[in-house]
Amino acid sequence: MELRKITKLAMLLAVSVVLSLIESFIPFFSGVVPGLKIGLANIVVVFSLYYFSFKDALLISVLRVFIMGLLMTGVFSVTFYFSLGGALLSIISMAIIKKTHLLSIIGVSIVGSVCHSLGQVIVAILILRQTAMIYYLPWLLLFSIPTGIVVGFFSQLLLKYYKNIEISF
Amino acid sequence: MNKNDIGMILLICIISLIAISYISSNHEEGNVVEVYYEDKQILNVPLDLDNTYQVDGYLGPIEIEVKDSKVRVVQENSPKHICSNQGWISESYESIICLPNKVIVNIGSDSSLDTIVN
Amino acid sequence: MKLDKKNSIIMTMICIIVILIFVFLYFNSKNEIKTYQKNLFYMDTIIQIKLYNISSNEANTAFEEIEQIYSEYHQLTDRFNSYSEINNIYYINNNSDNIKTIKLDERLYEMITYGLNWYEKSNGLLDINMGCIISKWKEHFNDADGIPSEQDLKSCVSNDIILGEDFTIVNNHPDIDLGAIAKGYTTQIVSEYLESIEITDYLINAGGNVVVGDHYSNGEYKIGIENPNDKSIYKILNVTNKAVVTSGGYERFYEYNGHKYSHIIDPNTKYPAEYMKSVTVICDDSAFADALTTTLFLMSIEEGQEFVKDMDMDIDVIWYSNDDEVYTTSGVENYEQE
Repeated sequence: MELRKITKLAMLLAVSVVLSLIESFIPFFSGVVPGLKIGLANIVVVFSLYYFSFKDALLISVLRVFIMGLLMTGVFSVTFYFSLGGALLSIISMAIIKKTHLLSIIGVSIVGSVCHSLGQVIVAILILRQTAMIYYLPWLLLFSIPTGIVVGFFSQLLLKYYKNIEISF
Repeated sequence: MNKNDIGMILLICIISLIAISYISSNHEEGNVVEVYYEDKQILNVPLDLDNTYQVDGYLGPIEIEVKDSKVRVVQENSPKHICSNQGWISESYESIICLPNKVIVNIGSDSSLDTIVN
Repeated sequence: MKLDKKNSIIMTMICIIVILIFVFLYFNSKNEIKTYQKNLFYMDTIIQIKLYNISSNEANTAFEEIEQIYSEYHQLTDRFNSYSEINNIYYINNNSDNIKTIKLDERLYEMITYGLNWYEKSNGLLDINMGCIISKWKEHFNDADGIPSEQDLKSCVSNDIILGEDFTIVNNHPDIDLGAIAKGYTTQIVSEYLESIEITDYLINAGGNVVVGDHYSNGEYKIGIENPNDKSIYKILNVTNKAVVTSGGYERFYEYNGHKYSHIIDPNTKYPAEYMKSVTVICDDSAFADALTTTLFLMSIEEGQEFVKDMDMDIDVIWYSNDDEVYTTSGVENYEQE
């Protein structure tokens, strides 16, 4: 990997961690559905997926979960696996959907958002061996749409600006 | 956004709305509070008895309050305190999930008993 | 997944229709048994009241009245506090006025009479005139501080309860404690009140004193009887229009030096009774059931079986013995069928 790319990826990783941190201090809708959030850090992941490649986006996504684990919840804690499950399912499904060229960046981002919830619920069911949280899945799915749109929109915006900046480099 | 995006959004909407309306229309009246640690039930108390209870979670003790047929987690030890911030639940399809503590608070219906003599 | 404009419109339509159907179903399913419930705290116990199939106005009125009844009886039977304008047990026990008789509230007079009748009926086992001894034990129980000494218990002297004409009681410093009958007696009053205003579907659980009316949906109330060892349910009774009362039981024991003491004091020995772990009575009247469980707790299971037989009434009893055997009267099985 060339130095320039490493720098860019590191920078993006830092941005995604900061976005995660910011978000973790703002409880958005936890009254409606526990733990619900926009997933601002996914902007970076979606952006990386489009700007670089699946591998790079996967790297950023997983590293972010590790760093957040270190900072907030502890690595290999229950919450860590929960986040990891969501992040992995999200990035993998986004990469697959992107390959089909059926959906726009916003559609892909919605898929990512939906699968993020889905992955988290699956991991939670595996860890707790309890199916109670499945009742929250419809709500999570429904909320994935606006959050997916927001994330997709910002990724698109970012992509546009970044390309402009690139030319001026 | 293209047409496929919109189609997918509609599809997700339909699926989740059907599921939501199904869940909220087909539930039994809850009358007991069930607390699980993983798949082990560690507390089963009446929902209509105002009281506070303490159970052991993965990261420490968890304080559960039952009041006016509602239940909430008052205190727990976790990084984000999602489950103590969640507030009250009162329907049988709701649950409080204290993921870092591997604890779930459910409202169940124990249709077998109307009351207990002790 | 390919969708054109036409398909999108159809999808939207389907979506709206589905939502409407479920909204309709949701509101329809709300048409169920109406349950109202309230928890009160009087007489040192949680009182749980459930009323069914009435309007919310009726329920609120009934709850207010019920709270009134419990609160008034609580004050009347209170042995430790005085309340203005009522001559309650505290007033009777500690009256130093230079008067021969004390005028009683009619309700308290009735209740003391009821207690005295039971004193006769139980051959002195159910004694409502031993407040001092009960206090001595309670102090030690509450502070988890050993047991009262022989001498301490002997220091308790109680003068006879003598009721006079016209709702009066002789002012000779008796030592009344109505704890053994107050909950059951008041709950019976409440159930009679509910019947009088034609609320037929109800359930009251006043700390082990359960009274049920008609079932809310043509079934029977399922009442779990707790195992005195571990709080699990060892018997489920299906009843309507009955009182079910238990004496003894889990959490009502006080442990000291590895010995478990019950909370029911035997007037003969002045020590807690230990004939059994718990006893449950099923009959029509909650006051009767409460008094009977206390009486039965104060005699051996064999004596109790005789005692119940001699009464020749529609009463059923479940004894839970010290060695964890369950004895029942023959009628109990009628309540156990599914």
